[in-house]
Amino acid sequence: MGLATLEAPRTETLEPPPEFQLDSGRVFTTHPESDERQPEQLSTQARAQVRLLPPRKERNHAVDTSLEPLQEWEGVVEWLEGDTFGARLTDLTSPGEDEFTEFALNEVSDHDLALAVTGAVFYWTIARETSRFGQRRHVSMIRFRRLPAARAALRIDVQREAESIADELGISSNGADAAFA
Amino acid sequence: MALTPPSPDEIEVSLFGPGVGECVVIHGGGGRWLVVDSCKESPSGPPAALAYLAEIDVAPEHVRLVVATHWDDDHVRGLAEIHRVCTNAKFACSNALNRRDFPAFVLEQESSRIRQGSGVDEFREILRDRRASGAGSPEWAQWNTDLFADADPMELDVWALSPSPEAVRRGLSMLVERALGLSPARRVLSVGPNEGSVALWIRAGDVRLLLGGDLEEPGPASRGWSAILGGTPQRWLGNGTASLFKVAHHGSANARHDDIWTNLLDEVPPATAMLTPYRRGSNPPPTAEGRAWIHARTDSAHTTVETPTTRRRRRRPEVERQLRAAGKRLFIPRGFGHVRARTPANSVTWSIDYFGDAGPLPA
Repeated sequence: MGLATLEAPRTETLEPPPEFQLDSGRVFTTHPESDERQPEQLSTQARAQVRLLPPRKERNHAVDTSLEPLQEWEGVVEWLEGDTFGARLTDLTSPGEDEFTEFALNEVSDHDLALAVTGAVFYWTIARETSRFGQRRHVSMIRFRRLPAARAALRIDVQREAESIADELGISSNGADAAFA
Repeated sequence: MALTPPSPDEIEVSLFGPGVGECVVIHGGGGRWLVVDSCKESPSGPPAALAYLAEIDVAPEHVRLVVATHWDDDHVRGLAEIHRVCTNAKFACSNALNRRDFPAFVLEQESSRIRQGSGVDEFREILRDRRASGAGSPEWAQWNTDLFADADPMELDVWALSPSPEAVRRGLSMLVERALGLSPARRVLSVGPNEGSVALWIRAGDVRLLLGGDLEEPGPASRGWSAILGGTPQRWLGNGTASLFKVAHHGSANARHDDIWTNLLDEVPPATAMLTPYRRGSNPPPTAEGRAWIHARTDSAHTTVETPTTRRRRRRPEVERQLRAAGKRLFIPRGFGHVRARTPANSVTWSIDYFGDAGPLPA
């Protein structure tokens, strides 16, 4: 999955107030995305707002965040030019006429890059990510569709109908080859 | 301007285009109509061809031939509906699809569950309809194939000029092979160069037309336009050149061949040219250079969308701000036009009318 932080205007990034830890009698400000802790000179008023937190643990930030999709599209890659690709987008959030736009290939994760070919289907999501500590940021995610598992029963049905159509339409062999033999 | 049907001895070529899509409706004289490809003005609307025929009070039963030049979705939207209601029409498509494994491929894409469709949905409907109605095999179009001939009340001949045998063997067979290798995880889109498109030569009375489809020119003598220009016998050419050209592949550089204009089209006065733009990509055809190339060869060039514009949807402010911050511009191509050319069947004096967003091809 491609995950990119949008370069949002400052007003869009909701920065929560720093949280404070009391550790061995010293006060530190902490940031959920950083291991750096800085001694802090606190006013009496600020100290009154300090919450006591449990001892710091190593956390997996990936599971500490929640994503709230704001807008989702299903896209189909229609053209590739240099390091960009163009796509036709179907709005999954608020259906309407299809739209077009372009993406840079570097917006696609390395994991999905090989899937970005003409005709490929992908999902584009703009979401609000909220950390365990309430920090919010906006993210743009591109996820390419992978092959569905083959369904044997369906394939048998398809084959049966296809042969029936080919018989009815008189397609007895590869006519394109036969016609010019 | 009111839409009225042509008189029985008038030949008409009506080109429709929404910016991404194309359809040609032809009156071949004597109330005989042809439809080549299909597009829609709006996604939920009727095919442009059927809407037009209804507006001028022509019943779909008067359509005698429906041609799918190729399977690109900008040329087939609504084609299955046209095929279904034009019950007296022959249906022709590329001989490259005349393969035992093609129906299986088309049917398998039904499981794709892609909201924009699999890309071959129209073909799937057509195959099923033909089986259900017992209509039998389509007319397989290829080089030098007479798809339709009728002399009552005047001569009307339709010849396929492409794909060439080599294009079928190499290009389209490769395309189909590649497509057959696709899983339903992908939408079926064309793979260039488009040398498999059906180009048509139409003779109606004394009027000759060349419809270029999306046929491109890959270079070798046995493929693309070179194969048409160098192929023998050119039974379709007879003793006259065409006075109207539906420019191939939206006027793109890779569909050009100078000899089209000297060997197949009238030079004095120069043939009338009409095209649909293709409004996708960073520099979509016809480009300024492409338009200049056409203007250098004719003083009568017309387009279905004279001034391409786009519109955009508004979303909740939070999403709008994020799209702006990310530098994303989403757009919906606007515009739909109809270029109508009419001439008496016994002379060549084209009169051109524009409807909707159509107009002269800009410089």
